[in-house]
Amino acid sequence: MKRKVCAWLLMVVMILSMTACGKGESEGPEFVYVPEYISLPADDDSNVNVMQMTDKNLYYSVYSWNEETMESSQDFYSLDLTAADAKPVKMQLDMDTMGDYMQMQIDSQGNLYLATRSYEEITEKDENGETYTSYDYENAKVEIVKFGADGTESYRCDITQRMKAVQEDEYISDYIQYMVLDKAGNVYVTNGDTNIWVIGTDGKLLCEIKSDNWFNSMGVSKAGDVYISTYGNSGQVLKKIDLATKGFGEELSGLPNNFYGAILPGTEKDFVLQGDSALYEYDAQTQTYEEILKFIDCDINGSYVQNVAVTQDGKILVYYRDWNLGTQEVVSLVKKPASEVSQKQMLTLGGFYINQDLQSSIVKFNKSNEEYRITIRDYSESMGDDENAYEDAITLMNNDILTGNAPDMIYLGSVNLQTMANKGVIEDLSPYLESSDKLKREDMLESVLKTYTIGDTLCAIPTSFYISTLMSASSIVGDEMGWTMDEMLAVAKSMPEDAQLMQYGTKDMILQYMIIFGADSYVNWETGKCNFESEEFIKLLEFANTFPKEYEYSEDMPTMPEMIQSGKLLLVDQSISSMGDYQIIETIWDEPVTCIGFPGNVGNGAILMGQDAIAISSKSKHKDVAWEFVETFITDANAEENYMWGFPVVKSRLEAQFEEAMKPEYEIDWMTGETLLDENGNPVESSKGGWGYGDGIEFNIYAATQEQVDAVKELINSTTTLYNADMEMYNIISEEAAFFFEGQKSAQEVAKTIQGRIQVYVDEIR
Amino acid sequence: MKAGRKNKLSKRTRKLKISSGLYIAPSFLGVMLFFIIPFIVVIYYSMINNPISGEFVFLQNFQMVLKNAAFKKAAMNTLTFSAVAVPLAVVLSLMLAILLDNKIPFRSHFRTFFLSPMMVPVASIVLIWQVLFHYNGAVNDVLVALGGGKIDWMKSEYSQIVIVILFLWKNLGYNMILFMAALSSIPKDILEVAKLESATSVQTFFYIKFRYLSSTILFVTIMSLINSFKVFREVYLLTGDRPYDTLYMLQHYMNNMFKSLDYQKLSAAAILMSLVMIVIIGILFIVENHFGKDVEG
Repeated sequence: MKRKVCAWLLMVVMILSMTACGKGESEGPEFVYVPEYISLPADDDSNVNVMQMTDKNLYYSVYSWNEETMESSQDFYSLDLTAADAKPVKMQLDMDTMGDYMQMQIDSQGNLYLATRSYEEITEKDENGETYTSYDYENAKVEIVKFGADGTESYRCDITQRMKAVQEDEYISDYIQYMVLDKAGNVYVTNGDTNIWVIGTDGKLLCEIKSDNWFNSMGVSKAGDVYISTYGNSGQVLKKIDLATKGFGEELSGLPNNFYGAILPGTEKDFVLQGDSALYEYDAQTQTYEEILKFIDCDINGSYVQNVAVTQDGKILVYYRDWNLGTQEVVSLVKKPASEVSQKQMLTLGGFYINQDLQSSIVKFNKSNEEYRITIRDYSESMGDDENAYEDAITLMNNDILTGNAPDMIYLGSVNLQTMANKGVIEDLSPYLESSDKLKREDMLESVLKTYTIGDTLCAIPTSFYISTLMSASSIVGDEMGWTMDEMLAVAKSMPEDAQLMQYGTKDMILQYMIIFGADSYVNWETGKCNFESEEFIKLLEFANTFPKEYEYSEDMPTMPEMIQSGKLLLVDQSISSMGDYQIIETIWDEPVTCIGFPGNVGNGAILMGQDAIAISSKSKHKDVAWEFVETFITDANAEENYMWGFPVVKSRLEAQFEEAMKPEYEIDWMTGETLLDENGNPVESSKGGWGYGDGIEFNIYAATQEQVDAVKELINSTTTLYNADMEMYNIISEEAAFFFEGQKSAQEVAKTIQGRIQVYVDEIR
Repeated sequence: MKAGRKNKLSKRTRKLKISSGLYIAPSFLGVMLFFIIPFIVVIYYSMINNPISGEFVFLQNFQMVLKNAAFKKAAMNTLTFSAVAVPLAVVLSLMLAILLDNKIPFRSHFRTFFLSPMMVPVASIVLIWQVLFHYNGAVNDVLVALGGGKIDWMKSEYSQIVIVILFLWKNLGYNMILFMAALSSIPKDILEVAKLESATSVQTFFYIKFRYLSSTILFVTIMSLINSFKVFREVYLLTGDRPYDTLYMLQHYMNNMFKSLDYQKLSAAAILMSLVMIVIIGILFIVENHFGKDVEG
């Protein structure tokens, strides 16, 4: 009987323990933060300078310029955040000094602390001998000033000489990076270097504290103690400032990987830490953190957050400024149970280093869509500092995909598209493109779409792109794009002995370029046969070996234009993202140039690098919604009024870019507004951009010619190789080639080893 | 009455069976959870085209794996290594055990000497081997001093020899101890009778000792076979993901398939490997049964 009871008990325990192991349905968060927007008054939208937030008030300064008196001034305002329709109140401060206000703090008694930088007035003479008043900007005075709650100055502490004393070179960094107050009312300031100055409550300098490492941030704990964040032996740490020892005390580790922002006093735990994309609560006792919220889930672009404050009642205030749109807001985030807030259906966008433009688009989508919202899973945030961090993060993403937890959209920034496509992870966008009202296939560059098509799957569409290639004078390399290794070596041999193939060329660099951009010459991916024991590869090794191991930089070495013009440089590695990038090389060479490309047997030798390409997961349950976002993102990015870096993928926008590049600009007399004329009465063409190289060497470009535009168009239309560097192959070759470069093995022996290892690699992935 | 008794007995047997079942249920559930269910999942993965779409393709993955040049190379290398290293490990350790079974001077010191590699952590072993067999390592320094040329031990046809030496160095001690224990359990009276009947040492060994050692030989062979697969750990630490092709083992192949999301090839390769292992161990059991039948039971 006893045995039966024991057996039953054991059974029940086993079953109960297993029921806890299952994945189960993912439950949403228990609490969410709901944003309430507080717009800053319209006439203060621009020129808002330093700012501080407390539980109830927002304090900020506004810079203004008086056209009549030609003087600038800064005024300080406070805004009651708890009152609806509150108006900013100008603070009456007893100030008479001209200068910048770098940092501001407010204590619980309403005293205001400012870090100021002021300049002495000096009298100078202009070229006509007339005197005018100016300011000595090279000798700023840095002071910490305290104002009482009634606006009268309590003290002023000059720390200029102390800051100058610790500078090692002539340039003096006179900017106060951080300023905080401790519980006793002492003021801690630093210029973000390795020194902290502490000003006591009497306004006198109390002490100076030096750190071995640079600071990342400085802030205050819940208990009112001051901490800095800096790098320890294994990642970022918080160090407590100890006034008694004039050094540092307790060291806390276990910080979030992407913590680079503010250190704030917590309400429940010791600290609130600001990361790139989230806020965290940190417990000093257990040295662990917990995510409070993701900015994107509160419709805030984390990249634009300027200031965060945490109120005693648990509200979070965020001030952020969108420099693109020119808007700024204070957002009050109120914690509410998720059950009280209407939930939208979630889509996830996963990837690495998701940039701020994409985040802005996500915020815009979330605000405007009633039914769906997008959240971000940035795998780069899980990366630590060790050498395997990136691989581990890739494994995390792969595991998510394979266990049915794939993001709905994948940001292709650092992801191997080939592997994803081969595994059927990516949805074919062709049907969506065909039925789209906003984007038409015929309106987009076919070569770009072809580049992003693997097999029959159109994997993604970048918003813009640039092309990486090698350029040289047409008189040296001919007019046609693309060449083989043999042809390159033949040209290199014909050059003078002291000429260089590429600037800053080293053994590893040459090898890297030739392998990453010309790997298809040695591997037949259709048959799986590798050819690293061939004469061509051995020649490549011997050729790379003619370069130095390290490039010896010296101050008097010639610049790239000097080398080109003296015939000492054959090739320039150029990333062409605009007409100007093409034109400048032609201007330097002063003759027609050819985008000859990286030597190999395939294509024109150029590589296309797409920007902001987003793929849709084939397993997503909301593919139509995902496409809606992608379509809008591409359309908005290619809109005429938006600034774009790189060539746009939309033909009409690209044509407009070319037309703009071909439009000449003329010099204008700023006084009269009239076009300047030369001695023949022709308008004087002005430069559309200049490049400086070394002392006084400058090249300017002007309106592009039709020939130049045609050359770039031909380059774009003929480039269909996507950058997908096979670092695995390169790493094997580099590792083995080192023995040859060191003279320990012959090129043939090294080639044989490389052949064996890479053949196995190629066999694996076929 | 007899029927009644029979009923009572069968009821009791049933109750006994149920309660026994309940007692072994936790272990059984554990084995299910950590061995059987994952194996079934592996079989499932080996029969679908990829984990994303999950389309059933039956034996297509097995065909692809068997045709794959990398798998064939890995299988050949693993087989070669096991075919050389395992018999050597068994024979050499048996010889050492027989030697140390005799009363030779410094016997316990020799025993400690052979057992000490078992205590050395893997990372230290790898470090030692790198120092010795690197292209610029100690062994090549000696070769050059003796007038010879350098050999790239880890990236040439000699690489398997290095790994065999590593394997033997690490495993001989353990096998030797097992054999010594088995030798000491052979009944002394049978050996005395053999001696009295003028049997030679060779006859004594093959007709008596070998039969008594058969189960231990089987056990040592199986353990050595398993350990020969585990040598991947040292090879991986010495040479990374993609070693020279003679060192490319089955586990390298499976590891790399995992990293490139090729779960179907990984699963198919794992099942093929386990089938081969089952056959080999089955053969070993049959052989042992034949040689050891006189001494067992």
